[in-house]
Amino acid sequence: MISVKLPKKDIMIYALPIVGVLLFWYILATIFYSEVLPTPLNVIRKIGYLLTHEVADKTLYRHVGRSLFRMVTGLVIGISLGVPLGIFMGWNRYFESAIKPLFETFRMIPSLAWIPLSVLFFGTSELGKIFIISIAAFPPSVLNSWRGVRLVDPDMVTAAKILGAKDLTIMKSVVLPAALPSIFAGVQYAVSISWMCILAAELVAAGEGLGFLTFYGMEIPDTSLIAAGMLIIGVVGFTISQILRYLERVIAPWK
Amino acid sequence: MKKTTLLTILSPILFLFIWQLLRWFNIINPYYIPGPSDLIHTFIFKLFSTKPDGSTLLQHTFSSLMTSLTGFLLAVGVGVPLGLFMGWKKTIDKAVRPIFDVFRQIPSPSWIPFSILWFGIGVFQRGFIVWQSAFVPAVINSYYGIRNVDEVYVNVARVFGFSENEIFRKVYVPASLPQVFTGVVTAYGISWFVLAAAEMLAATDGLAYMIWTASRLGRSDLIVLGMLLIGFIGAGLTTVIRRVERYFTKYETVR
Amino acid sequence: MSRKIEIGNLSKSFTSRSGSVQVLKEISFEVFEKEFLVILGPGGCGKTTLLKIIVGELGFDEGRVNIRGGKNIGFVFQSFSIFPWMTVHQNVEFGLKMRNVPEQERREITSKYIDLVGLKGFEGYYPKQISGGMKQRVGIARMLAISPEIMLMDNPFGHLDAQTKYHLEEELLRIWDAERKTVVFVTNDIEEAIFLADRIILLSKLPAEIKEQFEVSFQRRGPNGELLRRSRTGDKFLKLRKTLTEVF
Repeated sequence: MISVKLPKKDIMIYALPIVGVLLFWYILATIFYSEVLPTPLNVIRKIGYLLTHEVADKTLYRHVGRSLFRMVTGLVIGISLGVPLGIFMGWNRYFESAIKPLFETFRMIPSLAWIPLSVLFFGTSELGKIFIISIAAFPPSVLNSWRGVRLVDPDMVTAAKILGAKDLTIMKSVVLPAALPSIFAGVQYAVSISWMCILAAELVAAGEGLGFLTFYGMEIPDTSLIAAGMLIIGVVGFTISQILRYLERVIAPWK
Repeated sequence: MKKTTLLTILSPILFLFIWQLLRWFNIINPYYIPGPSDLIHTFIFKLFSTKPDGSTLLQHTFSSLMTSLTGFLLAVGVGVPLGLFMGWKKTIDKAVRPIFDVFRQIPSPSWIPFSILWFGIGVFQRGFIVWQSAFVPAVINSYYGIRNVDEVYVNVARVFGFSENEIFRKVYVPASLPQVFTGVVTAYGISWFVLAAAEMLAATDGLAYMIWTASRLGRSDLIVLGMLLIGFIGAGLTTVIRRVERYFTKYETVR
Repeated sequence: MSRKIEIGNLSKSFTSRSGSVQVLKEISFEVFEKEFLVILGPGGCGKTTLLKIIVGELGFDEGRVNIRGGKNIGFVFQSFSIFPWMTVHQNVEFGLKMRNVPEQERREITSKYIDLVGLKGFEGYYPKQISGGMKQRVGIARMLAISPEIMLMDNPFGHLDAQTKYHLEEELLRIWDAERKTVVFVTNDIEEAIFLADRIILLSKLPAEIKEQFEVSFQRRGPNGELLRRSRTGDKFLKLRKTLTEVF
């Protein structure tokens, strides 16, 4: 991705292809495919509309907020269960051997495949969507924490022992900080997977949310709405990943 | 036998045993959660029965496999060369990258509404979604594969008088293969994942379609069976890809 | 001089899926109080294993390890292994914290050793902000802080460039003289061994056995017992170097 500090000339060169595509898009949309392709202008107008009006009885902010809420709640659950499990698996070989086959089986089932089961259990309620997100966030959290702990420099642990640290202190003061970058990488991955998931989950069954909005656009059909929804999804997703990258510097400044 | 290997074998057996026990004593309600015995029974039954969703298990599996493999192979077939060229020639990079960066941000599932509008519900539409989701990681990883090739190898080839094209074919491409394969594996994972969403939204057969329909009919045994199959097939294909990778990268890259 | 460490008939093998490798074969030697002992041997010959056995981190198959006096042993690693999420000060202070030394005393001791290794002014820096040589000084300081009687050093300067190495070797001797510790120093660098040692034990390739021992007594102490700096180009130095190179 481009950094913010590019000189003007580079920014223009970068934008050139995008402008080219926009033009191409405009031509396609107006002349050939006006039923199934919205023009760029219409999309922008739609976004403006969304920012100020309600769609499906709710404002845009409500939809975005709802999607985010589901995602964050699911993430918190998935991560708080996954990270400790991963840490313990990395720390204790026996525990790892026992849990590994079960975890690997769980992991190979794509999170979206849980949707039917979730609908069976929870119907189309909020809990169902949060459930899906938790399932999606769980494996990357476990995996990265597990790897983070396993890859801790054993000499560092030895040094701590020689300096007099007991098991619990070693875990707290050495293993955890050393594994933190890896754990955070897992969190980042969990977030991106969850964002993809929430849309798919909402596409399938929801009353509000960004994914639902896009789906709603398909039902009408309102192509500008679909495109506007996609764009907003992209922007929000991008913002989230940037925030995470910033957080990474805050949490682990020593890297 | 080592203790750890023993644990790895015992734990799934113990898990299945407890699960079956819970089922026998009706502690878990078979409407919500089937037992292992139910799953085996359903599996055998469904292999050749078109009840209740119109296709046999074999047909569903075949459909999902075909759709995902076609989309995946096309994505890799177009994406890997594109990524390789982007990494090699700055001009192509500058032209394509900005458009690509924008596309990256839009999560794959959000293309589903447009795909239905453009192509109608059908194999092609689902294949398109699969293609789109596999395309991005294939390009990105191939791109970075080329970019991360150690300059030393290239310089050595130049000294030996290789032409630029030969250098591309004989140095850049082989050196970038490990990274390319990482992209291929990721592409596969995402495509399998997205296919599930596409099948659940709009399809007439396929494994994910089967479990979605089963959910409507309250058949948790079909759901769990489907989930496990989706998982196994996904994992199986990933293993195959990894084998292929090992074959192509039999040489050791000196880092 | 009294014996500080006694190693008798020490043997150690490692077993893996591909078979068993004997690393140490009936090693016997002594380490005397306050001496600077160098264990010299080719790379990968088990020197690290030996040190780790002495400090108690690894077990052994046969033989015995006797340590007189306290079990307080310091260990300096080849790859530094200092904690990247702690500052220089926090790293050096760590061992004292583990021993529940009160805060005031902790601060004094930590400052003392940070000064001793020449890192005054860098207390608040993180490892990623300092050079390799400085990182290793932190590694040394944190072990000195717990006042061990024995310092085990596993090729501590192996990852450093020649300049830094020379510099740190001199510093190390100075610190050793000031703190009066028993040092067991492992290396594969002949020159380094001769420069530092009171005594050199030469190990063979795998499985490691003791090949020879050398007393290195020239240019160590002056008439008043003060520490001297050996000349790397002096006759005695070069002669010993030749001998060692041939036997190595």
